[in-house]
Amino acid sequence: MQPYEMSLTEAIEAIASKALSPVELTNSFLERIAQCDGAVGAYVSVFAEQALSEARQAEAELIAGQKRGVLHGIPLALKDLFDMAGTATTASSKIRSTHIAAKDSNVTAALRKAGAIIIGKTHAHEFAFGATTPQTGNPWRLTHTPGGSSGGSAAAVAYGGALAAMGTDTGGSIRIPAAVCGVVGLKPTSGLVPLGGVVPLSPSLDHAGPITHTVADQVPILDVIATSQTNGQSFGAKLGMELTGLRVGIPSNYFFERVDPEIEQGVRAHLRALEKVGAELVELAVPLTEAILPTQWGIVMAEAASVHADQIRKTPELYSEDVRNWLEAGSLLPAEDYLKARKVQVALRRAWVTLFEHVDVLVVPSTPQVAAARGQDTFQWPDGQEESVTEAYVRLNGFANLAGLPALSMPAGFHSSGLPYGLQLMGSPHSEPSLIQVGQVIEQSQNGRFSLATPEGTA
Amino acid sequence: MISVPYTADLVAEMAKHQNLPLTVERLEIVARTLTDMRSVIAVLDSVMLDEQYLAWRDEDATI
Repeated sequence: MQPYEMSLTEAIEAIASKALSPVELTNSFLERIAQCDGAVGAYVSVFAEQALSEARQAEAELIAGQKRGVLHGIPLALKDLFDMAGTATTASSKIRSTHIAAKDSNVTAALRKAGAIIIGKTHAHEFAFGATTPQTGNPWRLTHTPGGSSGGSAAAVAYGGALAAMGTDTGGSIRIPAAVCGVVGLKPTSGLVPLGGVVPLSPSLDHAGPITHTVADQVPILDVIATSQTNGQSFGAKLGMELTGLRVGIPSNYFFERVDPEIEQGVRAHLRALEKVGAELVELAVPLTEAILPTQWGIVMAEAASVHADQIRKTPELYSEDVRNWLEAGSLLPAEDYLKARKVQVALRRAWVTLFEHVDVLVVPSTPQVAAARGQDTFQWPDGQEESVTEAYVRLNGFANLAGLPALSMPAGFHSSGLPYGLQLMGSPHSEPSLIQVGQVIEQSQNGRFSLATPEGTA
Repeated sequence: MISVPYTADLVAEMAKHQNLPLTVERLEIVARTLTDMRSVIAVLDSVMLDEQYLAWRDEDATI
């Protein structure tokens, strides 16, 4: 096994036991990036020299018996929305091509304090405003999208270009790319991970979280970046615990409607497997689902237009066409639309948080389709209806952003097209340890994590 | 629902009030996008009459 093929947990153990040095590990990732990223395009920038210098420092510290934290000598990547002192935060936009961050974002600082080495910054859909990340290819099939907006982060993790990478999620932007790239992504509970120094899209719905190879890999990162831990315990506190008596909710409406049959069957097979290990399956109707997309759009379009109010008036030509359209149209939305959406959001939160008095986790597909082809605008459904790719991807994800709930997307299988798909576990606020517990059981039932993708032409 | 789609002329007038510089060739596409956007959001009007919404709303709450 090459070091780049390790999971984060394995790499942490290998460094701790001195079976592997931070320099060997970092070099392995730099070589893998050099081998694959020309084809995939996951990275905006790779900090090879700085990363190797920090790896040598980490190695020297280990030899001297010093360890900064759980991520000592571990190379990680950041979506290019997170500030890192002295480097550009482009948000994959020409608008910010000359921006240089004065200091680290809260997340960057926490990761580095724990010993992490930032190996590079990954592509996003411009300003995180979209679900396809056009600059990047899906490592499983380069002609397809890696999803978005954290497409570069998910693609890098999927091909072994990063042990883990940070993403942001306003309507599924961690979970969508994680699902279509065959990796694990967590949108944490609102407020759990600080957003200081992260380029905003829609401040009331923005979240930051990790994208990893395995479910357990989420733990060391969350333990470091979260503002507080559950009862002072690690986010992995429930790993390995039995699921007997756990109430698993299956929505009888909305979440399995207009979903590719293979994805639906795959997710339902995992539900049956959970029942076999002691979980109780509870079918329930989720209220007010017809409000998900209208509320999501009413908030995001208005808040994004506000965030970009100066720039869209000064240099509109520097935005890509889709983002420009949304920002210009969003600038003309009446305030009543935004206020209406915020008002409905209050009801959605109350209704959906209460849902978790009856179940411990909710299991749904992460996306209704696998990765769309790059440049594909719509999905065609058997009833003849067309649905935009963005809307299809966001409609199963906005729920958790609007209600502030944690949601974990993890690999659930491979479609007959050869592309991966994911399932999503959602729970009550601060139930991340339960989602990680259940997620690992599902992962183990399909013989562990997916193998790394080998992008065409890079073998 | 938005019964009348936004026209290029209406968008030009609105953009002027918002100090949003839209070139003539941008007006049609922004009008279409705004019409689509508001049509989706307008579903909230019927949601807000729904019994489920009325049961869960909180007129005093802010997020």
